[in-house]
Amino acid sequence: MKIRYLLLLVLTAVVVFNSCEKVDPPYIENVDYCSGDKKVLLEDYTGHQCVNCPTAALLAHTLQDDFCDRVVIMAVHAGYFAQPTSDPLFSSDYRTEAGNTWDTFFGNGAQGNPNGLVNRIPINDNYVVSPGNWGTAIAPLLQQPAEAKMLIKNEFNSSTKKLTTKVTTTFLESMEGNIQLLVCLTQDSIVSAQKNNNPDAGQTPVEENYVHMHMLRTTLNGNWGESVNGGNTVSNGDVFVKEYTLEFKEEWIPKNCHIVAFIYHESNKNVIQVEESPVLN
Amino acid sequence: MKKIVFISAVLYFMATALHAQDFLKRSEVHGSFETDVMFYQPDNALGITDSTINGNNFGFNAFADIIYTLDNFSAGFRYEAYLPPIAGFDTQLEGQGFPYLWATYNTEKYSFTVGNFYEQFGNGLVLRTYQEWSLGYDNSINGVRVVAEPVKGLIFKGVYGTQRYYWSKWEKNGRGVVKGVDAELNFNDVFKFMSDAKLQLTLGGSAVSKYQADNNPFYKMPKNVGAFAGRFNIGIGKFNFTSEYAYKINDPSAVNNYIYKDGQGFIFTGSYSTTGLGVFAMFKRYDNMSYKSDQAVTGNALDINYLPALTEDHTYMLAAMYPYATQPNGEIGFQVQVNYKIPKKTWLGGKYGTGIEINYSQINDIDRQKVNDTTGINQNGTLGYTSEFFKFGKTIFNRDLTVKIDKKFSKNLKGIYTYINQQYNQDVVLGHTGEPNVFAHIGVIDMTYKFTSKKALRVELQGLWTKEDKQDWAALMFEYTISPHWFFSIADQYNYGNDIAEDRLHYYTGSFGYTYKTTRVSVTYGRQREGVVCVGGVCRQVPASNGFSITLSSNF
Repeated sequence: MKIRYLLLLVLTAVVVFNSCEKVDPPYIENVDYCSGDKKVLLEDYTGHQCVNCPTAALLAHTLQDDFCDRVVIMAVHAGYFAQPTSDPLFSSDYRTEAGNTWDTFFGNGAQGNPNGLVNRIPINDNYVVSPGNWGTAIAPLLQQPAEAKMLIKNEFNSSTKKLTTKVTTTFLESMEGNIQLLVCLTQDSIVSAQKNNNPDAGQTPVEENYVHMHMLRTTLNGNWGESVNGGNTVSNGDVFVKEYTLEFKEEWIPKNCHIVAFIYHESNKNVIQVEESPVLN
Repeated sequence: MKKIVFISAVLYFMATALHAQDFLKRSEVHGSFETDVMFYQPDNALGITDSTINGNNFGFNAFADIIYTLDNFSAGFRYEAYLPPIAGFDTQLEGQGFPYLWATYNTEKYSFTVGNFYEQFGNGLVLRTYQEWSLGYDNSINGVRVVAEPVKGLIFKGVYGTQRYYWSKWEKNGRGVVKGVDAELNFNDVFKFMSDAKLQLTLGGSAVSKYQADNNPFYKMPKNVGAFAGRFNIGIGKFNFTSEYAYKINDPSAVNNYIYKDGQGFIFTGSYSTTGLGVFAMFKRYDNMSYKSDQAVTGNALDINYLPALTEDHTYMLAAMYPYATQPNGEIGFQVQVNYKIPKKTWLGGKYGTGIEINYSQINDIDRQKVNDTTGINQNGTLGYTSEFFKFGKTIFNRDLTVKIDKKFSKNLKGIYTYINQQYNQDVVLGHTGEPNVFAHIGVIDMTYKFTSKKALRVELQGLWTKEDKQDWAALMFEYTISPHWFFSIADQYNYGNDIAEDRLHYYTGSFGYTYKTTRVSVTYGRQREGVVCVGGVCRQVPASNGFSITLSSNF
């Protein structure tokens, strides 16, 4: 009787002990991310009072390098840590209507900054991706073939300070459902205070001259963009052209600005393709 | 012929009815319910406006646990609803359904469970699944469990299944599969010659493994990650010693920044207890011991193991302001507690005796050294760091000295006096990186006066003094109880010392409750200050809020 139990114990122990796997170095996979036309949108939800956010911003740049510039970054200032305060260092309000809307919809602020969206695709039913998982979320997307190709042509009139943006979308696969185009303006090199805990990103606990990059300033066609296909089925080779104009505010320095345009499925918000182009070519 | 058919039918139905009656007699149904409702209102001083509430002025958490028993068979379910979850609970909880369904069959020596179950091996260093309603935490396993006790004192357990992750169904190549075995041998029960021995001895051992497909395109992930633990419990007269050591092989994850170092956990406790005196000491060390069934998940979800906390759990309003959360990536610490009862009818003991409790705990980071000159400490995709086992790191995470005196002055009046000296690392524990350590002095006077055997008034006067964080606080609470049915309470926490004048706020609350048999309803109105709620070292953030809360709970 007792031998039976002993055998059972030994058997289960053997099964469990064998369920171990020691990995030998090198631990990082060697994959070529430089070939392929698909790009991925990384939205970094951030705020000037978020001490961990500069580290996340550094990580986003590292990923952009690691992935051969196939990651388009957009820093969305939204949520509690982006609120302006009475402290003059943090009195600027970098929030945008679109950013606030997305923050509420996807729940970034509620889950604590820094975090982000990777192509607005949920992982485990959650759109919000922590910085530690950005790389692992981006990598498989970049190994997929591009389903569309986008071309942005910007013309900026420096006397009227008016930007005209033409976005041409060419589908490389057929797809159904409503496909939205959203066009955004981002700005680099905005020098402003940022709480910070990472010496590699500047002074701690506050870097008064922090250089904010990829900051979302506004959108050119609303918070959710507009339909490119009117809900009709698109086929391989279909081309859609949309044109928008934007009057520049004083604080938007054209040479530091980019247009980020992306198309996505309206039903699940998943991004299909993204492109970025400087305002001044 | 018709008569025979009729009589047979009557007999059959009588027999069935009798059987059904017997069946019903042997059946038992038990259950418990709880409903927590919050109504939020704007409060400009707290920065809560209509736009921040944005129409979400309502939070609703509820559950019902139902258990049916028939002889050796039992089955049950739990219904949960978070529509939407109360502020501070994970927004991924939003939804409703039956996340916990189970059936168990017990015999004298075996127990079989299918469906969801909670289980713990030893102290939980390699496996513990549990539910904590106040945290919105549930890591139950959905699968099969077998428990066997072939002889009294020898227990084998085996578990196999997947863990709950909010409302997400398990999918192939998704979160991992957990399997584990545990054996525990109580020498005093199993061996006759030890049945009356002074020495009480129990030994145990566990092995757990998780399987998760390698979906990570960045790192080479181990698909099977094993963890093992051994433990003992020795009692000799008034002394008792317990210890457990756990080892986990490489388990790169989002929590440990994808390092490939092995993990270790160690706890040792010793206690001595005699009339009027109790001494308790504990040492622990956790090194890279986060163990989840999904390598990509962070936060309070999918933990396979549990790392016991070591600090004193404070319950008074201000004393609970800086609770410690266990750091699975690494911590080392110790705790010593002495309880002494000064005897009655002595100068210090007075007529009823005086109780004294002194507790000291300190938790530091573990020692961390570079693996080699070219690799940074905790650099992803490396072995991370090396660490001397018993060496304390320089960074203090938490230090707490608590002195508590309880004294009964008369039949009607008693008091508890508490002093706490605390050092708290906000940077690590709360993730408020860059914020300075909090050095706080906390004092609490808790007096209870019984007017009659049923009516009592309890008053708490509290103070918290610190130069850091939000500086000085005072709190006052009155609670009037008419047992066994009613309680009424009012309280205020006042941040009078805040360096920012406009943040010197009162956090007032008023509440009352009524209890009838096993049903309790309570209503609270007021402000909730921003903070952290911890249970056993597992914590969740609580945002500031203002409004009504209603709690209704019952069991049968």
